[in-house]
Amino acid sequence: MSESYDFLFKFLVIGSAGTGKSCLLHQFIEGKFKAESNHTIGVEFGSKIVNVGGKSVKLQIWDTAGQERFRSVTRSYYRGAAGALLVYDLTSRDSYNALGNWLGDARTLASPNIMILCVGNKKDLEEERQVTFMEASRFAQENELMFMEASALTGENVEEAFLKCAKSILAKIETGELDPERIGSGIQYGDATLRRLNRANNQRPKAGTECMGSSCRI
Amino acid sequence: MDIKEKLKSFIDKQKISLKAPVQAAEFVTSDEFEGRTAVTAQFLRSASGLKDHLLTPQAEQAVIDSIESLYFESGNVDVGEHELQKFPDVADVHIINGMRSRLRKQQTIVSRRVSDLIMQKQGLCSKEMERVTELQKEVIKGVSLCVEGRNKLAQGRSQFTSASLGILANYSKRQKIASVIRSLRMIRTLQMTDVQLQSLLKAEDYPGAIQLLLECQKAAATFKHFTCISELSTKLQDTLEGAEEQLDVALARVAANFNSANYEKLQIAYGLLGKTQTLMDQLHMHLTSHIHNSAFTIVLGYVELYNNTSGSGSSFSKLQYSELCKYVNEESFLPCLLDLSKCMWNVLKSYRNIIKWHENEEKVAEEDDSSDGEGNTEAATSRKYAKQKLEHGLYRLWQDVQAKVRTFILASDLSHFKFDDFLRILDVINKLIDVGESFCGSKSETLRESIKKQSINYFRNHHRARMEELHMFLENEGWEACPVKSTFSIHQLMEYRFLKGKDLLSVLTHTLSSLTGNKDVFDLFSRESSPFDITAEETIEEDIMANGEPLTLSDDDSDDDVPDELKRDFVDEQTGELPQPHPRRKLDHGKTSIVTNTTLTILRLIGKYIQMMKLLQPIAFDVMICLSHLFDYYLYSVFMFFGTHFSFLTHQQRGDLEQNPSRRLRGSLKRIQDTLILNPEACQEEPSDQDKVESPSLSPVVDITSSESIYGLPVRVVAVESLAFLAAQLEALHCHIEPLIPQQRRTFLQQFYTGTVKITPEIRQHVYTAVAAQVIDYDGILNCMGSVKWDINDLMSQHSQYVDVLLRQLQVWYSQLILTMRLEEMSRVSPIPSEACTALWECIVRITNRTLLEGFAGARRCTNEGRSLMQLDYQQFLMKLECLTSVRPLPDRHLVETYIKAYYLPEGALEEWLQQNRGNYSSRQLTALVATMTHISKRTRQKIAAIVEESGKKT
Repeated sequence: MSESYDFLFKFLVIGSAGTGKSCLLHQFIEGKFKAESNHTIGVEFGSKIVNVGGKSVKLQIWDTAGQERFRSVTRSYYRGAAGALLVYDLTSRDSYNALGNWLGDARTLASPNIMILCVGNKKDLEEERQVTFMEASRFAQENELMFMEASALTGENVEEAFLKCAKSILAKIETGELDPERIGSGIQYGDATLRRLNRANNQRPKAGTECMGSSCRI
Repeated sequence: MDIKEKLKSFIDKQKISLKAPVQAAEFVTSDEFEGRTAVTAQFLRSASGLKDHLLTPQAEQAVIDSIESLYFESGNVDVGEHELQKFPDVADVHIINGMRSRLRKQQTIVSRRVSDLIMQKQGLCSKEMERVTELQKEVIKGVSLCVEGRNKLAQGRSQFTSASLGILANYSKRQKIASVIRSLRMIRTLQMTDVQLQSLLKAEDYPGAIQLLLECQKAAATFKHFTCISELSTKLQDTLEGAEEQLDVALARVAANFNSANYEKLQIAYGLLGKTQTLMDQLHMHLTSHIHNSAFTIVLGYVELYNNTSGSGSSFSKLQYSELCKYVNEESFLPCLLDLSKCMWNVLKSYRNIIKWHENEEKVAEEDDSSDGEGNTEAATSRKYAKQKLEHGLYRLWQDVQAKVRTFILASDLSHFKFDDFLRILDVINKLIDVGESFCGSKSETLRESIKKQSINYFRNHHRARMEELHMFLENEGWEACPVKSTFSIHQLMEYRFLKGKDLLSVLTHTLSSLTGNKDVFDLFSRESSPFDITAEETIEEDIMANGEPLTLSDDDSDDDVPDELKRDFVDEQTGELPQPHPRRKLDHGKTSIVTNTTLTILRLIGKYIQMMKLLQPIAFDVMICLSHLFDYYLYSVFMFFGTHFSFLTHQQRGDLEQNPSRRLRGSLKRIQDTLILNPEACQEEPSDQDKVESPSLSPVVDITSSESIYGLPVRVVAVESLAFLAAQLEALHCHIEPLIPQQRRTFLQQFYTGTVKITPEIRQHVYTAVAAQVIDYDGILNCMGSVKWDINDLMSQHSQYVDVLLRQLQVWYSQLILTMRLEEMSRVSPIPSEACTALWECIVRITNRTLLEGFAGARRCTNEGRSLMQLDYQQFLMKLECLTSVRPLPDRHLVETYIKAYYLPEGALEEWLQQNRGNYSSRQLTALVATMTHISKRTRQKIAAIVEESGKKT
């Protein structure tokens, strides 16, 4: 596919089971609410090109399963993620309480500079709210997270959440805080020529694995 | 005049009183009486001569007789001359006198005689005279009467005729004026009819209008002697033309939107004009132009709506339709297509109604004909013409519609549409095809070709993105088993819902035919609706990939509250309806399926692809090829990651092991590499590389080299078993896929299954060999064996040490394996399946046996006792090994045993043995064997060495 974009960011969507991670992603990509959905098995994937501050950025989003039993499988996808959406369900205190664990995983397994945006999903269910905005906002501040409340059902703040996260990553690249060239940053140049240049640079460090492939031709 | 004088005097002398007649005669013209006067004068002259000679009548007679006849001759005879000639030559007076007297006498007598005669006749004469006079009087009277009559007549004429004629003339003039007035009135009415005509036309009473017009024209023709009429008739002609134009317009309206009342009116109107055939021609022309215009208008509307051009808005209307279609954007494509289809539908429906109308007409006409008999031949021919025209029109019209829709479809690049949007588009087109089918039985090649083209384009794009995604998945894959429930089956994935119960295909694409059954589509939709409304209402709200089925427990893989048993029953109930054996049933119930995230992704994709094959029927085969790529790519990756690392093996071992993957599997892998994988060395991007993907590299978090992880055994197990699972699923899906592939393309499917899917489990051995080759220190064993003395002379009772070393290593490995399995089982992550264990043991035993064989072949010198030791060692090894593993038969066991025993063969049998077993051993091993056989003659040994060498060359 001949898509052209300036950057490629690797994103994660993490959080407890049933918080609506897949629905957020579906809403973001398809622009509509997925009424009937199952628990995610393993990981699923979605990508979308968005325009952030005049740059087109391809978001490569890994939607992980929230259930405990999948943790070990989903962890391998944390590696080299540039951004993450940490999702809890504002009608479920349990999911909010689990944020700490998820955050720990993300900080240890993903890129150290990972930008994390905390999302309180199901904003439309105001009557059933169990976590106040203030409370979650404080948590976010203490842990240096961005914070937003959103609704995958109505679509409110869904795109904004992804965009906000992408925007702050882009800002960090511009200030030099993040180096896209560094392996495991979760960021790639999108331009075809840059990518090729990138590949040429990476050829040497990668050589070990590459030659494995070529020496063992069938 | 002098005669008149003489006559006067004569009348005086005679003393005849003729006063009255003379008086009357004076009224008469002199000419009338001239003749009579002359007679009278003659008579007078003769009377004078008579007085001289009085003689007897005899004498007189004699004298008269003597008169020369000459004198009685009438005519101008010169009597004088005659007498003169009678004179003698010599004039003699006497003679002359005599002659003269004779003549005188004669004359006298004649005169007398004449006079006598006159006298004699006098009475008669006067009597006659009287009568003449009387006659004269009568005549004069008549004349006067006549004159008087004439005068009277003249008077009468002047008094009567001119007057009455005047009256007559006036009368007739009046009559004429009256008729002129009548005509003028008529003309005035004619002129007035124009208004009426317009109102009739406005009221769409076309037959009335035309009837009126024709009557007017006829009337005008009768009055054509009036000058004003000629103007009027030209005006009428104009009006008629105008009316015809109006008719044409009305016809155009009817063409676009059929209305039987109007159409009937039009038919009658055209019939009155005698132009029924023209009507048919015009009708088709209008339909064609209506298709063209409305298609253009609709597309233009959308283009202008979405291309915000306030200033240059008109520029679009100047574009060609095909150019215009290129400006339709993604957002407006579907609504525009729907509108276009609806519009086309309406045209077709109109046409259908027209045909139906004509059919009815014909039925009615036939009924009439039977009673009527003849006289309707003209009507019949025009009906026939209409029928033919309509029949031809069907196909042509559909071609037009197809062409318009096709141009529209192909003008846009649909490849970036969302799948359900794309499906909706296809759905619309499929409906159109259905409509076409029932409209004219057309197979709609044009439309089919265009959707095929777009579908392929769309799918190619889609697939390319999916392959890139897959590449990403593979590079991120941790090769850990995804902890799915033990009851997991693909039917729990959303993407496979179509396999149970309601068939998505029947829901979507067959809406029309299922609704209609065998009936005509056109009968089904009432005036206002069209099959394209249904799309808008029913399917737009629903997610096409989802099935609309209520969420069932069995869909939810992670429902921990439901006991497994219950759940299993439920699943079985659901799947029990399926005709094919459930894939899960093939597996042991107690055993969990091993899948990775990537496997799940591929399974989901396969599910989607199968759905696409159903939905994109025309390109099902292309989709199938892409589907096979998904599997191929996974197979290739697993092989590249886990099946290729043999650098740690000795050359000899590698040589042996590389023969392990079957030829078929290697063939498949080679094919995959050639067709699917981007060659990293080829810099130029070839067009054929478009569909290729990069070879993935193993995620750095995966450890497959350290001994702690048993050389990545769990990871390898997951990789291989997930691949096997995938293959098994594919096999189970075979019965779903096959009917979707066109008959003539099924060989590909067959090849894919037999050549790739079914042989996939063979990769197990290959991957496990990589582990098996590392768990035992084969080189060490070989070294140990090298130090054993085989040329002993005592029969040993104790086996050699290397066997213990080997067995210890195997035991260590075994316990490690058990430990790992326990650990894995405890963590419920990736229990190692028995197939894996078996395969692993097989590999280890095989390599071990081969190592032992190599070791035995390493004996330079060997005695019978040494050979027994070999047997002893091997028996010991086997005995202990059989405790460790349940693998039976032990692979390559006979190879070792046969090799050892071959030593005892007599010279004669050796050659035969060699021929039989040559392929199983390397030439080095055979040479070594023969070299140790001291009981064989040198000559035979040389001969055998030659055979071995020869066969070594061959291989």
